[in-house]
Amino acid sequence: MLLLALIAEEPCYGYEMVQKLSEQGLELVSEGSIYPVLKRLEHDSLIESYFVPSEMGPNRKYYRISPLGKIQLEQWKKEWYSFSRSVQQVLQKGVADDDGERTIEGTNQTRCRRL
Amino acid sequence: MMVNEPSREQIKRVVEDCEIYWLLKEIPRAQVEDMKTELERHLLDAAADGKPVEKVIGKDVHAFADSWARAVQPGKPLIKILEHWAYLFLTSAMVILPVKHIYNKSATIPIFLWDPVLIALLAAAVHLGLSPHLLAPGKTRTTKKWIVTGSFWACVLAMLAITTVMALRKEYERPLFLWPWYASVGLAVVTWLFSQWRIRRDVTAPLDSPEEKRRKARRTMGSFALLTLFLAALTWIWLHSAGTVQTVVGIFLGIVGLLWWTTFVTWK
Repeated sequence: MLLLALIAEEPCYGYEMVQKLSEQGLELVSEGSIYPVLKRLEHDSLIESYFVPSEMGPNRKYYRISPLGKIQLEQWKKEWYSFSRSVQQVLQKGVADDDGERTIEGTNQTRCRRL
Repeated sequence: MMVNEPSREQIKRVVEDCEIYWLLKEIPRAQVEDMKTELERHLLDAAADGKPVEKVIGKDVHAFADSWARAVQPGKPLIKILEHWAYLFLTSAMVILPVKHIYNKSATIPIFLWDPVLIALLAAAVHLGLSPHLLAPGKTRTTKKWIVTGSFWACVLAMLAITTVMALRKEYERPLFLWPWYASVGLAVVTWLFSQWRIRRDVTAPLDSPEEKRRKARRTMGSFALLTLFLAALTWIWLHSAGTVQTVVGIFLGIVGLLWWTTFVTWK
């Protein structure tokens, strides 16, 4: 989904995607792992690719999002927001409970000391 | 930042390794060329930024090549698998049967139970030796060495199989049936036709220019003519010699015969 979102912003090539992810704090263990993912996205007709001649070295392969890809990205975004909201709610509830427990524990300790 | 020569050399080796892996996985040549260009470009960009090759492909180049290959070609259809094995069986039979004709000095040869077993083992050895998954990966770093290592392992396995079967053959001395010379000729024709059919449909074939194709055809024709002359000369010597000389000439005859047959079958 992240790769599709990056490609949706503007057409880009593999290394550029890795750099953009890195700028956002998402370091990949193996940069090349994006290529099988890109291939699957292309296979599912969510993205299209084309080569751009390069003055230095081999040509660059650019990827752009397809109309089907845009629809799929919207769908994935909705699913992600819904999922992340649920996770956030659970985590916030956990933090609130933790704070509550800590307050009770703290009060008990104060009472003990007073006694 | 410029990419230094050792890094370029390493990148070239990695790209070559991936290329041969993808071709052995029967990914179409045009697609392999695209994948190679994309990978090389990424590795050069990464090297220019001072990143090591491992940062891009991880520690295992074949695991990386395999994950990409699986994304391109998720599975092989059953018909393709059957075609692959039928071809291996036919070509293996065309190694064993002529050897038997020569060994027995006869147009009609007895077929024992161990003959089809030998053919199957030879086919399996070739498959195993040249498989991108089993023996070849991880042992070598370059394309040529990979093919040589694969072929070497195929030969070792074939020799092991032949030795085992020959040791056990005394147990099965009764021939199953007699195999006439015209059956061998017929099978050779079928194998050749099958091979030509496969070559024409080979998606991994190099994308050569017409001129390059003509140059290669001329080279193959030259090799074939030379091998045929050599084979004829060796056969004549073998038929007119005896003892150790005959054994040595027989071994050469087998090697030249195999080369002749390989050239004939893979002729484009």
